[in-house]
Order: sequence, then structure tokens, then C-alpha cells
Amino acid sequence: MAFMDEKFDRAVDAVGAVVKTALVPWGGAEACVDAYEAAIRAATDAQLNVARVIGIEPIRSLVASWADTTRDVGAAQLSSVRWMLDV
Amino acid sequence: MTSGTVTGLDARTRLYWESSGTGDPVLLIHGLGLSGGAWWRTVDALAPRMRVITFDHRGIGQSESLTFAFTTEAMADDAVSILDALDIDRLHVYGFSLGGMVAQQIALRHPERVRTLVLGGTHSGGRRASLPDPDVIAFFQRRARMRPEEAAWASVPFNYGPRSQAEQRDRIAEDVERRLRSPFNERAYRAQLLAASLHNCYGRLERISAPTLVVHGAQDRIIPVANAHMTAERVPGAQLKILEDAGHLYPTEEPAVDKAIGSFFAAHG
Repeated sequence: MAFMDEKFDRAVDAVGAVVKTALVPWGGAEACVDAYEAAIRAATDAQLNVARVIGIEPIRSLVASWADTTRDVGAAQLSSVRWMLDV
Repeated sequence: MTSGTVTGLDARTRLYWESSGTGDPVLLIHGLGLSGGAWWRTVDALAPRMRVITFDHRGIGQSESLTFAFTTEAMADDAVSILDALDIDRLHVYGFSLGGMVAQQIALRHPERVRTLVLGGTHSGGRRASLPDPDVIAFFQRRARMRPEEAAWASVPFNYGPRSQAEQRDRIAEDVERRLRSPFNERAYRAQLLAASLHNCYGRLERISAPTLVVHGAQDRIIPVANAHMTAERVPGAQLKILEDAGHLYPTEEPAVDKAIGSFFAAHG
């Protein structure tokens, strides 16, 4: 089992190294992940602002729920990518 | 003590909060499956000199929601929505266990709101996190299917250090009795387990700018103490307090720690 874990770690490290190299022209892995996080937050905030100005239910609730989904799906993606790239 | 609820923009999320005492405000964020009431010992210790705010996460205790929070980012934003409703710009933040993960997210997502940060019995996630033994993980997955009283007592060997299990049965019984007052929601618990699994702030700990204190029990079986050392090394200027005889639920096992945490808040007030 420990051998399998080691093998898995090495495979993830190898994939991570390839991805990090590929992202160098765009400022590196950390900068790209940060930029993606900023985009997710901007999209979430925009949707929340729309929800705040819409007074009609259930449209407001739907937009607010969609903003939550955008944030949470983005957060799950970011967590996985950070785990793989170790950043 | 005052209390109230904050209604979310989705009109279905209602977050319950309580506020005790007056003075510098501090937000206490509790751990997995527990309501804000689980902080009763710490509230009693801090409220004589501070305004202590506790709350129930979505689906836990008296908080309601259509969907549950399955990321620590969502739980952090919920906490900040309570601060907005209470008109608090900046305060001390103390998170314990899963609450410590949420506290990290508040410090990173809303740094302007955090005066000081206390991370108790928690970890930062990521590939370098030190994981608990497999029997501990298996227990927490199994726990959701147990009756509340059975689950509370079955958690004792995991939650408390050996000394407390031998010498502090009364305090442990008080904890269990308090915990059982709050209804247990299996779906919310599972969502919180997922949030803890997805949590990953490791690579960003060095961006935390608030004065930080890391507290951990050396006998912690749920979140091994190696995580506290790693967190304290990475957060700039962080202080580390290891409680040698305590397990995961150190606020019960080492009551003096609340005074030390109060002093940390006062020193950075």
C-alpha cells in the first residue's frame, strides 16, 4: 500500500512538473491559479450584485444560489489544482 | 446575551448568531457538526472582557438553508455576512478544528476584517498535511450513521487525550450533554466533512498578515500536531502553543488556554 502511495505521489509530481513548466510563459503556476481565483471571485461578486438589485422573487434567490454554486465549484477546482501543483 | 438571525440573499439561508459581553469583538468559529453553543466554556472565559460572537453554520443548530456549505470558502463568506449584519468591520477571529480552516479562509479572503487570528486544533490542507490514522477517518465516516448519543460517546477516545479520559470524565460528560442539546443534521455533517476534505490553504499561509497564534494538543488524534508546527512555520510571525497533555478538544482539557488566548487578543488589541 505504501508502495502504491509513493507511486501515486510520483505520478502526481510528474504531471505537476509538466503543468508548471507549461505555465511559465504566463507567469508561472501560482500566478495562473491566483488569476483563476480572482476571476471566480469577480464572477461570484457580479452575480451577487445582480441578485441585490433584483427585487423579484424567485429570480433573486436563483441568481444568489447560482453565485454560491460558482464560488463553490470554483473553490473545489482551485483546491484540486493547488493540491496537484503543491502551490 | 443577545441573539438573532441573518437572512441570506437566497432568502432561504438563515444563520443564527449569539453575542455575549462587551468590549473588543471576537468571532468564535466551531468545528465539525457542532453548533455555536459548543463554545460555552470559551464564551464564559472571554465574555467578561470582550464581545464574543458565536454562530451556527448552515444546517447546524438553529441555522437553516436550502443548500449546505461544502467548501470552507462558503463557510467563511457566511461568517462575514454575520459581521456585516452586526456592523462589525474588524475583529479578532478564533477558529477551532474545521472552524480553524474557515478562519484561515476569512484571513485570506477578507484580510481587512481580521485583527488577530487564532487557529486551534486545525490544519491548512494540501498535500503536505499530516493525516490522521485510518481508524480515525473510518470513525468519522461511520459517525454520520450513528444515533447522536452513541456518536457523542464513541467520539470520546478520538476527541480527548489519555489524561483527560482518565481524570476528566465529568468535564467530558458536560461536553456530551451540551452537544446533545443541539439537533444533528446528517446531510449538513456530510457537507462539512467534504468542506474539510477540500480545504487547501497551505500554499497561501504566508499571505496571512494578521498576528496569528496556533494552538494544538500534542495528543491530538484527529488532526496530528505536526500540522500545527507546519502552519506556525508558514504564517509570518505566528506564535505556537502546544499543550502537551491535551488531545483534540483542548478547550475542555486545558481550561487555562482560554486565558492565554484572551491575553493574546489583549496584546494585539
